[in-house]
Amino acid sequence: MNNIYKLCDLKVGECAKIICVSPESHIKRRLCDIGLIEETPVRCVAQSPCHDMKAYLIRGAVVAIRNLDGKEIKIRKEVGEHGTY
Amino acid sequence: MGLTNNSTGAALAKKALKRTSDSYRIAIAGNPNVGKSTLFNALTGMNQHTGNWPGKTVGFAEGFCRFGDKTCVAVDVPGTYSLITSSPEEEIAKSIILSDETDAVIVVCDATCLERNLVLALQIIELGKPTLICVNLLDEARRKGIRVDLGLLSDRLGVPVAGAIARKKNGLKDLSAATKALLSEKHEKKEPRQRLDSAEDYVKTAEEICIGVCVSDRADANSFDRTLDRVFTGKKTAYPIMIALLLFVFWLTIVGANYPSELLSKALFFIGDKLGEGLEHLGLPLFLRGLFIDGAYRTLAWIVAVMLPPMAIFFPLFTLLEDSGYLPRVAFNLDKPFCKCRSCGKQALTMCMGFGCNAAGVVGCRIIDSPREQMIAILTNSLVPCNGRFPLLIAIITMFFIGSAGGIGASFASAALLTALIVLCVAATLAVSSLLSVTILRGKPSAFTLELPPYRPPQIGRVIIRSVFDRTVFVLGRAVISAIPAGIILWLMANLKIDGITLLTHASHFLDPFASLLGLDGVILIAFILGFPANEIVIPIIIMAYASKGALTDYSSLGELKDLFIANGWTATTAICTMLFSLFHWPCATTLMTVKKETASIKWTLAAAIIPTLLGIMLCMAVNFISKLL
Repeated sequence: MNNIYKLCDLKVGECAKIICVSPESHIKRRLCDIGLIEETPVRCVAQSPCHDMKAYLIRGAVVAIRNLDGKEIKIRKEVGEHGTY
Repeated sequence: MGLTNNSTGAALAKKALKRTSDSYRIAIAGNPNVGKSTLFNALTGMNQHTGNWPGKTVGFAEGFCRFGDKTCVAVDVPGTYSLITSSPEEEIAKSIILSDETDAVIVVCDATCLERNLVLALQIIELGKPTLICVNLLDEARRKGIRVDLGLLSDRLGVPVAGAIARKKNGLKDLSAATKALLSEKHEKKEPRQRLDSAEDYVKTAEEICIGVCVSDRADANSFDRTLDRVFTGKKTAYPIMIALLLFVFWLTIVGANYPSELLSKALFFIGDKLGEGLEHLGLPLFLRGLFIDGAYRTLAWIVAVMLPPMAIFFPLFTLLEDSGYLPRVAFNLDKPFCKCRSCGKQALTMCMGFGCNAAGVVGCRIIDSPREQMIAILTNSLVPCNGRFPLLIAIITMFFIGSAGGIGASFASAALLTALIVLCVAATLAVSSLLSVTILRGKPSAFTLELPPYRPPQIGRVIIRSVFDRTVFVLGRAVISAIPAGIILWLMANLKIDGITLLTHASHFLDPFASLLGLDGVILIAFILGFPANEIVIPIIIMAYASKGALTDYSSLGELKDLFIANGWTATTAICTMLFSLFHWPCATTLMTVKKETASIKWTLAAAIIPTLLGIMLCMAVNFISKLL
């Protein structure tokens, strides 16, 4: 079953694990700083009113990432909580 | 969030923080938003001032504190997520920590997201200085059902760990004891050594360390925050709430400041009169009395009376919103239009700050990480009207565009027109930001991530102190510096005569031809020029010139003012162009001084002055031209 998606595809309330961040992405370093690397569990918790940005629960903190950047992050959708609090 | 993370501190007790042989220097580091500043304030109280790292314009707080019998200088290091990327904040943080003067480091961590915080902690431990971890926000962790095993954490990291709730000043004794112990131990000088290969390794190590250290009882502990977020960022509710809040803050500022301003100006002018009489008794000649009292003092008194009350209301209100955690949601909601202009949502926040005071808005641009976007925000901040310009706008709207009937209909109409002007300013900000992004500030859009902190009840006491001392006094101080020479110049121009005509009149005649191209007259233009120290004195200067008075004069009724203006040739076009020029002209002296300090560059300060002026000239010429055609 192909459940590989992009981070920006995650709907509010859905959980996933990061597969990889595209290496050419200029935001890769920044994401690493906030703890977003391979196998990191994330949950989408909010969406901006113009639908251009989403907020994710990453290692206990809520960080908003633009959808155009979220396109460069591959994820695997998962069911239920995985260590996110 | 950090709008005033590095803002100029209060120099209440300006103790020289000299390094004696007994005093230690401790760096306090950590991620943004972990309560670092709260802890810093709890440790140092009011005994702090702002230091400056050599070569940089960013200021940071230094304070004096005691750990047992050890006196220390604590340094509040800028918040960073890691030390191995290379942004200016990270360079500064690293150099402070590595400096020979620094004896120890306290890394403040947020108990609710310890894994992420440990990334920085691990990197700091590797730098080799004696390090102590302070796990803060334990009360929030408890509320979310998170338990932290401080002992286990200490074993795994190999450094002492203390827990705290900085907000409530809990755990400070333990922290103090642990720091004292740390400083008492003999430490061999360790060289900084990066043990892990890549940034990802630090994240993985942090994750491993936290297994068993942080235990979470509840699956969904953030539901309150999420509910609030649904309201504040929901499709139907986000924007109406934002606009309503902004309007409320404006309204409260304008209405609430009226009475105090009146009182303050009466009091200050009374003092001025007494000073004048005193100087007369001392035998000071009329000329000098005029210069100092009618010129310098009166201008100063005017600016303080009109500037201080609105600021004393706006800044606390804004800081309350900031402290509560709401403001990042505004940046979240408004990122789209700014992203299109190749900037970011944080510029929406600095813009809102600019509505209170452009100088404070410029300082607030420090929250923008990308230097290019920060510059765009700084240069466009003056395109929104600050508190000082609202009286002029409201007066002109009322005089020329609303009937004298008064009542609810008139207030609504005034509000609507003012809102239209503000919308124009926001549009101008976006347009100029776009233009700058493709011309002199070209570059790639930044790697923008926005942290949405948990909602917290604002700490009212700290809010008041921070907004009064950090912002209000700082802005007022700079305004005072420019007010005194400006007051002297004003008086000279209004009272010295050549060929029987005052210098002021000469100047306005000289500017008449150019001014009329803009739909203004020489007096209005010279008033804007002489109003450089503060926009609050533009109307008083106009009145002074029209009524041929020798000092700044106020008006007793709008009807009287309108008569004076019309008698001097004002038309509806003049009113519109004056409002447009008030919105788009060079920033006031305080703002320009602040731009110079923030950018450390004359070139960009000039740009900050020229850009709004060019826009104002073009718009006024266009309106003037169109009105001539009609």
